[in-house]
Amino acid sequence: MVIMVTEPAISVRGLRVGYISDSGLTTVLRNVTIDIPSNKITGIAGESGSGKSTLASAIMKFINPPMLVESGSIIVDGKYDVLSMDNEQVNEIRGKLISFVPQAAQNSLNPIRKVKEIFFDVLKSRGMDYYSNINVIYRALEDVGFSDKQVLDMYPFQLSGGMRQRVVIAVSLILDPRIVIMDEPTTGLDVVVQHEILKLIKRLQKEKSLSLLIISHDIAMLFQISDYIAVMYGGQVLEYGSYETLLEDAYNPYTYLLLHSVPTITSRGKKLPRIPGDFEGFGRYPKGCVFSSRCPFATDTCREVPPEKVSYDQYGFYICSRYPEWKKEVKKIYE
Amino acid sequence: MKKEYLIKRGIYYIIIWFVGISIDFILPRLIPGSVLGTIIYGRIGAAASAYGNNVQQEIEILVQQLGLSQYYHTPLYIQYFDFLKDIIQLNFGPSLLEFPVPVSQIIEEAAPWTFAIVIPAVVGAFFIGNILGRTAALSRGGIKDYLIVGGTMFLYTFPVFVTGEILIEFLAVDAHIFPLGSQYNTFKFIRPEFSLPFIWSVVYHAMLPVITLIAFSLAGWVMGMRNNMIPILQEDYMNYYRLMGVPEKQVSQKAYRLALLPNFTSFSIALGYSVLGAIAIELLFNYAGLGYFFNEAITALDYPLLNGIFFMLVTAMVLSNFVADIVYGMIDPRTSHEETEGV
Amino acid sequence: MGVSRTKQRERRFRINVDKQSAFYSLLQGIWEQRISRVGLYLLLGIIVFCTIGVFYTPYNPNQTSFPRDLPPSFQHLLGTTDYGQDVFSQLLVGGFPVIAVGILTGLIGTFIAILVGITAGLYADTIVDRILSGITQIFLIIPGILIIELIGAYLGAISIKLGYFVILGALSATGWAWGARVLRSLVLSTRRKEYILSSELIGESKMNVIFQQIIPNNLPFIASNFFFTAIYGIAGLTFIYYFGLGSLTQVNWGTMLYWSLGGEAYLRGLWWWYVPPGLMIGLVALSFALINRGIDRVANPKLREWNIKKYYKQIKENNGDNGDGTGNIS
Ligand SMILES: Nc1ncnc2c1ncn2[C@@H]1O[C@H](COP(=O)(O)OP(=O)(O)O)[C@@H](O)[C@H]1O
Ligand code: SF4
Ligand SMILES: [Mg+2]
Repeated sequence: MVIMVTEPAISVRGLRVGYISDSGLTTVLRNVTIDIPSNKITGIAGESGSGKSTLASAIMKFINPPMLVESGSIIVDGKYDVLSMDNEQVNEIRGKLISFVPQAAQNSLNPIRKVKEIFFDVLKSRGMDYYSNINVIYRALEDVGFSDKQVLDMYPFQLSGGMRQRVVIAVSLILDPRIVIMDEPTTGLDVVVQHEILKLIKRLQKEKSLSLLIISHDIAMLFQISDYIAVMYGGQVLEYGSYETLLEDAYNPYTYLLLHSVPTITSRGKKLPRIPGDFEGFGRYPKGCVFSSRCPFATDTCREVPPEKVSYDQYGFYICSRYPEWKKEVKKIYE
Repeated sequence: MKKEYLIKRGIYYIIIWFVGISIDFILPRLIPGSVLGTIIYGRIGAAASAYGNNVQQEIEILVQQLGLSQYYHTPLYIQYFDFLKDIIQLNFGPSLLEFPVPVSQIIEEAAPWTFAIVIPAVVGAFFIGNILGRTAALSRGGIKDYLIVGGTMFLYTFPVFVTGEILIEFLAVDAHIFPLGSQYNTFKFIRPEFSLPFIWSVVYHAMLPVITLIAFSLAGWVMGMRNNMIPILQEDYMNYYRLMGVPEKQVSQKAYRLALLPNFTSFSIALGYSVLGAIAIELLFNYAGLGYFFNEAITALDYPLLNGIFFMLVTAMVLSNFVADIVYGMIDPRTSHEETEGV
Repeated sequence: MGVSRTKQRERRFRINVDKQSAFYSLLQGIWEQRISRVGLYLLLGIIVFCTIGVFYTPYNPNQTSFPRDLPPSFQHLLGTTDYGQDVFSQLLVGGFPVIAVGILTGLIGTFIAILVGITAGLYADTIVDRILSGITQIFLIIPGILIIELIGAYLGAISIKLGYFVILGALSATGWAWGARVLRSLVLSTRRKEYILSSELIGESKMNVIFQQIIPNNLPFIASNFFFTAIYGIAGLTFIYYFGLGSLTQVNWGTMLYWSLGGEAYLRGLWWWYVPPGLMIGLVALSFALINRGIDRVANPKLREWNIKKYYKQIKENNGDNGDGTGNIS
């Protein structure tokens, strides 16, 4: 096993994040500890509601009520402890060091500003001038595939979904950040556009050697582009590792089930394993393993005792107390 | 598409306008003619001797306009047609109160005075209200928010003429800071002309009514701005600015600008409605605008004058709503493409 | 027609449950908002004050035998009028009709708004909707108060002053338009959501759809419209009296304002004559407006404010027993 000793782009330690409501505080992220490598594409997969966006918001220190950080630390680029920085300091690195393409990219552009005015707003906030940076803007637009400068004079409502997504990516990259988080960058777009956006993301990452964190509920899509993949369930990262490792040898049953529940051409006609049931919700959190209520391999121990996290290289780890025994039972269950 | 929409709205407003002004036609025809006839003769009779022979002719006009059936036997539709013809020429007949001065002349003289207090009041309330509303939105849930919302809301629910009465008693009668009433100083030999003393006198006399109207209408702007701005501050596109490191101050400035759009649209409607406010306070300030005469006309049963002023007010309301639609189309880039909800 | 008795009872039962739960949660939501609770207390205080007035006043409010224009004193808490009446006694008795007209206007106006708005919404884009929306627009644009004043002036010709019931009728008849318009669009947007469509497909009657889905779903708006219309009612009543169109035979806050105005109280320093009734009218309307704010917040939970510092403090205190379980802080 090759051990890479590089500084992670983002290093999350023991992060607990919750939301307050009338009934009290509901913890969503539970002890999330994960390192996101530099200059790689890392995917975070998980059902919707598993806490992916919450994690992304915490990394951006975009913590608004009712969201609340209970404990933990987040180090960005080896030196920025974002959770202990004040707003001014965070604003300093937002967009410049670490940038964000929000989940709601479709609704992320000020509806009464033309595209160029949105660039203008972002540049102005850094004391930069729009006109002296016009070439940078042209390049950014070209980067995301606009050969035509007309888009600058359009209002967001005049853009198609795919165009809006690309404009947001261009705006997010305008200050030349090294780390970019993209939350569901392809959700809500049609398949052809999805494909284009993915190609674009991959190209941009290579050209600019970005550290890219891509969040999606679509694990198949993540496997198309990611170098590393984390699988989240119920506010925990159940498994994290390189693309090859997860594809060939998942350590956690959830990863395995997710991967095998995606229909592919070869799986046609076969019975796909399905993950029975639903996540019970953060209010009635399981005592033992989060996944135990739905895991086909769960034992009583699983239900009672939370499994330990097992790290196997600088990045990779899994949470499951029954690895590798459960692997032997796979055949039994699905045949 | 935008043009079509405006034309559609325009036709709509014209229909509403017709319905509105037709009230002027219907009401006098519902009152027994003999009663109105008695009132007319009673009012004019006093002036008749001084006025001479033309009285009969003026009475004819009134009888025709108010549709006093036992004097005037023509089918209703012809009466209505005549009514429209008259009203479009702003011919409302002579005022009973100030016989034989035509109603149109009274309106012509009074309307500018009403606008002289309504326009500054709306502009002032717009500025102050929006800024207060922004402050409230930004300190949402805080003490400033409670004070601003509670305070302006109180001023709004407090009867506007009582506000006026209090201001007069304490600032004019007791403290002598402001004049007691009327549109300009009639004692100091200032003649209505384009001169500095006259203009100053007009401004000085308009201050208290304007303050009263502002106090009354602040809440509308405050609540409008606050309620527009709070959701906008949490919109994804505002969050995106924040995520790009734009400082909160600039973000809230942008939210303010967005929240201002609907308030701009309300501007002309507010003009229309402030005329209503003016009607409730002009008598207090002895301020001879439309409201003053509306009051007088109600007390003196001067129906031609009443009809004339009602016509003006309906026209102002309809116009201001139409202007609001046009402004909305102009200032919000989204409207030209967005679907518009039915009627 | 063909529905069996048991089924009918079942239906009725369901209607009750739905309405109560939506209604109850709204009430609870209002109560939990500080701003609307202040409004409720204020309203309660005023109602108690006015109810006392129905049974007891220090003096006969119509008695005109006191010295005129007395400033407030222990004998006359709010002084006397220019006609030698005790202001405080008048204030006590004069509130009930005003509040009653306000609340009833709110109820009737909202009822009309529901009727018109829901009908127009359910029959959107038919001739019924066109006509109803047209009428709504007219009342939206031409102020009802103005129409009432004009009518009142013409009634003056035959020496008729507007009594409470006429005022109530006139204000209710003119105060429903805004609510009807919003309800229409609310119904339209609720209809677009699938469940109403599907229940229409199933063949549930329109009445059931209205009472089980539309009204409970839009209850916050309906409640808010009630208070909004009630404020209109009170303001309208005040205006009608201000212009001298109301019947002057009974003592109420409106007639008090009218007489004080005629007596030029504000020019003669008799503030105790017109400020108290004005203030009471303002406070009633203010209490409605405050309750309304609370409803607004219940209806738009996004507008809620969180005292986040308090929670951080609790977390610090609770630190330690937070390692497992649900992690709930109460
Ligand atoms: N604004 C909020 N208020 C309360 N709870 C929230 C809020 N946002 C998210 N949550 C809770 O956090 C959980 C995770 O949400 P999120 O991080 O958006 O999931 P994902 O992005 O994986 O779909 C949700 O299931 C929800 O219960
Ligand atoms: S610990 Fe047990 S329940 Fe959890 S994933 Fe592993 S086998 Fe399944
Ligand atoms: Mg998400």
